[in-house]
Amino acid sequence: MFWSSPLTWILLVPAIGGVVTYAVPQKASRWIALIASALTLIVSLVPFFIIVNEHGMTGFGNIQQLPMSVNLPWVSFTAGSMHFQVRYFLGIDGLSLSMVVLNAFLTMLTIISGWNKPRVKDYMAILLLLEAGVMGVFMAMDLFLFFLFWEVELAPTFLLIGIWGSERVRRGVPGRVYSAWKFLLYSFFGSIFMLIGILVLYFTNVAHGGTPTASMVYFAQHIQSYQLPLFGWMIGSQLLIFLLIFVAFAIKIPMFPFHSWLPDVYTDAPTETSVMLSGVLSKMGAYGLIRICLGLFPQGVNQFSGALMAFAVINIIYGALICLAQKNMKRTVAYSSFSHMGIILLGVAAAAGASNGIFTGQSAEAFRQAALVGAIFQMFAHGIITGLLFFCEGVIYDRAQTRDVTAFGGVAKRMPFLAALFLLGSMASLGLPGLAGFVSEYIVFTASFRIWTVVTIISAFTMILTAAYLLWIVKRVFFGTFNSKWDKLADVNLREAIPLMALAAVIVIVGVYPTPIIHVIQPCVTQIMHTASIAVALNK
Amino acid sequence: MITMALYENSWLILFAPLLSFAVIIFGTRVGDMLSRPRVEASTPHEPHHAVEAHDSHGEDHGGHGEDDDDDPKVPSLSAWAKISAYVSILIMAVACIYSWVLLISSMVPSSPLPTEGITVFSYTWLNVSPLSYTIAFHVDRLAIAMLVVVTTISLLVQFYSQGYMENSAGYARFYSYLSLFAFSMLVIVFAQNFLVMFVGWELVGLSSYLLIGFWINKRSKPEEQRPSPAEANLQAFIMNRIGDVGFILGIMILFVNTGTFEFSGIEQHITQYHTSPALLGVAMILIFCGAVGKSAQLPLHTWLPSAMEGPTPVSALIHAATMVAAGVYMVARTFPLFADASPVAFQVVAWIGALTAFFAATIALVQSDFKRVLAFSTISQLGYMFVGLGVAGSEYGVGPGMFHLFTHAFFKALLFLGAGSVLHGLHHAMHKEVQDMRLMGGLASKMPITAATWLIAVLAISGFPFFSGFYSKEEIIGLALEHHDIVIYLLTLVTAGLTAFYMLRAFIQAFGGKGGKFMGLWGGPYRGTGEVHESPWTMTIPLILLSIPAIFAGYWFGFYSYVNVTAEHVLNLNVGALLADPLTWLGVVVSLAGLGVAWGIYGRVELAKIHAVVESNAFLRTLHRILYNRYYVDTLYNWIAVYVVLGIANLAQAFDQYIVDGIVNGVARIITSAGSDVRHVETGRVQSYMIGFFGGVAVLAIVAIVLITTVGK
Repeated sequence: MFWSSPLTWILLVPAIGGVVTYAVPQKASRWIALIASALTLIVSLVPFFIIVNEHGMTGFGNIQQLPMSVNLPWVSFTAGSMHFQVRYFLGIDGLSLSMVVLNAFLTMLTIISGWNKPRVKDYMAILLLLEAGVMGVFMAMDLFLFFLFWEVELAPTFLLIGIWGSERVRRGVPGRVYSAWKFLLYSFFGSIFMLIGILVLYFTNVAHGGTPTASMVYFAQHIQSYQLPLFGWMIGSQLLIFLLIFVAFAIKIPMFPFHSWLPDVYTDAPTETSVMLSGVLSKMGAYGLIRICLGLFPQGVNQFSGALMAFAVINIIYGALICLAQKNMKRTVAYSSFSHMGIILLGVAAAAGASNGIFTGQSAEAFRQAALVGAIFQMFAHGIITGLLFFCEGVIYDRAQTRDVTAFGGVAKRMPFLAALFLLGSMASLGLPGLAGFVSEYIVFTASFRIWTVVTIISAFTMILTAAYLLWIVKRVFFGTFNSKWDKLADVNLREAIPLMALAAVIVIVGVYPTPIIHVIQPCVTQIMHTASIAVALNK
Repeated sequence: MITMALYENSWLILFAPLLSFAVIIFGTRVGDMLSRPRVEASTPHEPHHAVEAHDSHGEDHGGHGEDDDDDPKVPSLSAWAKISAYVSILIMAVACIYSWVLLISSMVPSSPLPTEGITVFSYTWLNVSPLSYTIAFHVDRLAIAMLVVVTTISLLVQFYSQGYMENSAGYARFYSYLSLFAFSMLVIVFAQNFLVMFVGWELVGLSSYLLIGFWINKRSKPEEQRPSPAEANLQAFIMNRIGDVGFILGIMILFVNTGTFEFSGIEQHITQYHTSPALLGVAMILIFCGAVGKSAQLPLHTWLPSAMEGPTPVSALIHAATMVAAGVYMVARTFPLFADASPVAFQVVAWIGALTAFFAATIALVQSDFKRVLAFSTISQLGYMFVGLGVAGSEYGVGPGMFHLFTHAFFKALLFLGAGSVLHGLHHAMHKEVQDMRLMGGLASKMPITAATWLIAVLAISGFPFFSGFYSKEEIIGLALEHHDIVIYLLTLVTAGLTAFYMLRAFIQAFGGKGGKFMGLWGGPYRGTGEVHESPWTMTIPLILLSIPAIFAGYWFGFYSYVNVTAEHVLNLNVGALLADPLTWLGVVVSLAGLGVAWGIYGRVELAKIHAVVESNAFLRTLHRILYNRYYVDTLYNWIAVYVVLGIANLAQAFDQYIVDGIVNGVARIITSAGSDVRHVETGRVQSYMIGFFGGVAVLAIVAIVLITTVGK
């Protein structure tokens, strides 16, 4: 059972690959890493084909009907009256699968991109271990297991930033050290709350006579709603536990005001780590928000949705405004990532929110579902688009050794390929139709307009701001009068072009024909919204 | 026999340019796409090129790149580059012929094409019953009329570009962009719902962005108030986006009320459920914002004159004939929704149009840049089209507005291509880019074909009797009066006179002048340097072909009922009534007066003398300065962007850095320093973090235990 499940292998292939990469000589290590990451991509696509084969294109299931899972006992002990149980429970549905594939795909590209790093062996080994940890997060169906993987991912990220990050001195220490610690402490701060939340959930359930389990499937079927005393106040367990767990996700996404680690960390991290941070690690937060918060605590999210909506619009507009003021290319892309994560938050807030009375022509239910589909689609789209932008920025930094936008000028003359790809990434990011970003932006905005009308109107102005800051960068760096200082700048070489072209191709394909991905994620959205609407209705 | 299959396969027209785009992108060698040939960097003294580069930009190179950045040329085009152009032209020719076949076959009364049209291609993104996000393409007579305009002008412009872009570096890239544009524009034409309309809307924005910025490294010319292409395309994209925000908000209002993006579905829902006209009015005005941006109407007009920095064939195709008219087409497409909305919606359309028409015409009076005159005249004529849509009412439907779009597309493309021919000739004569009309003059005797076709277009745009513009424009002016909008009527009437004046002024400044034949109309002294020759046949043939519809396009008197795709019956253009109406002739007199004044001044007086008169009179001088600087609207927008928007952005950035991050770091410092000397932190950074780390963990663990134990009770 353990060995025969493809899900186990999705975890094991990168983990073993990481260890082997570390063990073999330097020369072979890159190829081992590349093979391991390619194998992971193949293994992670296996569930897709099995499910399509067995259930068809629309049979990707949901948490209550996992099309593929493995569930084995792992830790089980009794201390006094408390029975404590952790299970090795992995499962995949459309939401998980899209993130698993995204993770495998981006990791493979980062391996190719980091081919010539110093200490390349260590670098690749750590990247693969990071991949394994993240895979666990996206597949774990037991809350304790989820927490374990959530913590596992911290160590490789910490090392990647701390060893290979920027040497630029920041507050008396090299930026890499400062940022690595900032990332670790911030994340850990959130993790503690999440652990508390999970423990509270587990023990309240047990105290009220429920099965002693931390299985998400169980909690998704038995939505818990009790009143809990907190320092003398009574508070709904849904809201309390949701908030505790959400702190960790809010930091990871990141959501305003928990984002202040982002500009430093994204900027100081090496290119490949920035890609992973923005492309995959931030999706762990969004994934948790949808899978755990919305899936298990719909009433809590519903109560909080007003605030969530406010934070979403702050993310979107405030992030975009800050981008306009940046002179550092990578910091702009970092804040842009922050701004675009707001669209996911807006979609979730719309999915969870009570409908307003402004427009009553159509029932709100379908709009909520559409908003959530848009949000999940944005998770995928954001991953590939920011990945492309970070990779492009990395290429230009490798050559020019500067990120200052104003230092460039007209370099498209010497780097036409890179300019074209960066422009494509920018266009995708600003929501140009035919590219991935548009699908999610359009669906989220049109759907959330029914639920949060005013906020959506404000958010729509991001269309102008995003276009302004991205194309302004394009103009200052790539177009306009040529700065002859960059006369010797070489264009993208073949190896660098592989990740860029791969991402560009996916952006276009997904943007033109998003239907397959939407088919993958839609069943689980239907289930989440169905459960949520029943739970919210019961609460009233 | 005309069969349904003819219409059902019309999606082939849509995807034809996409095919040529793909063929060029994936089929040509990289070198043909580049803005400059690779070899050039190593051998900058290639004879042909070096001469041009040296002559044209010798003085303003100032330490920048060693080669010609403004309009890089290659010694000769590679076979691949030429093939990509031929592929693009050939595919467009097929699409064009197909469109004409559709047009002619659908004019036959027995045509099987239903009035409401048919859906030719569709697939669904997301279906959450009852909502659905569907990409669907649709063809009806309104679409076919637009199809003919788009494919015909595209074909002629692509043909013409062979001459104009001759030996340009990135020749294949240019054709790939043109094909991408044609595809994007056809997406708008074929749109069956607002989602597809918006997709096309943004894609033409992209093609416009790419084509304006085709010369990627070209410099700005502050002394001529000309931005660099890189600035111009940024401005164009953002201005359009401002309008698009309104557009999408309008779409969203309709969507949440009706649950569909389809034009017909929305219309059905509105009539069935009696949606409040006020709400619908708000939605339609917001949607009109999109048209304001795309069609460069007040107050979002400033991007179009800047867009003239793109190659001239692009200006003809995108910024005169087709893309900027997309706003008009969109209003025509959603005409039934406007009609159901509160009348305020149509009034807004008509007023914006009339004000823009007048406003832009006044600016065009004094511009000295050849292309910029045409840019403002485009803005002004688009204003007419909106007036036509705004005042027509259900009696005439979309006819008057669309008819002016139809005729305007031909004569304005002709004007731009003619201007391109002039600029091409001058570039060869003076070895630099010249757009200032003060350096032209008397060109008619040197470029007779260009001059003759240009004169035809000038008469057409001025509404000279029996040219195409006469029928479309006089009808709009007449309808404005019929609609009892006296102010709009007067604005459009005066604008007609102004139009005639500035167009003939431009013609005489370029092609005539004091001393020429016919009282300065034809030929005269040339104020530039070098020998000017007529352009090659690749450029003159499109001019000659375009001058035919510039005269005769107005004789399609059944146009109004042809483009009417609603169930209601509409009136056709009544030529008899038009010619019998004295008010029509009042309009003609005004136009003739404009032509006469221009002829009288610019044909009889030397340019320097006119200039001196204007400078000596304080009132004229001030007026000239205000108009020449385009009412300082650009300056105002620039100020807003730099001080207001960037100011807020910098405030947000400071807030983020010092308040949000400051608090976080402050808290970290308080925890880590806890009484010890802060200065020690520098060396003990890691340790102090560790202390804070585990201290925090301990505190939180205690909280957790408290919580869990209280929960159990």
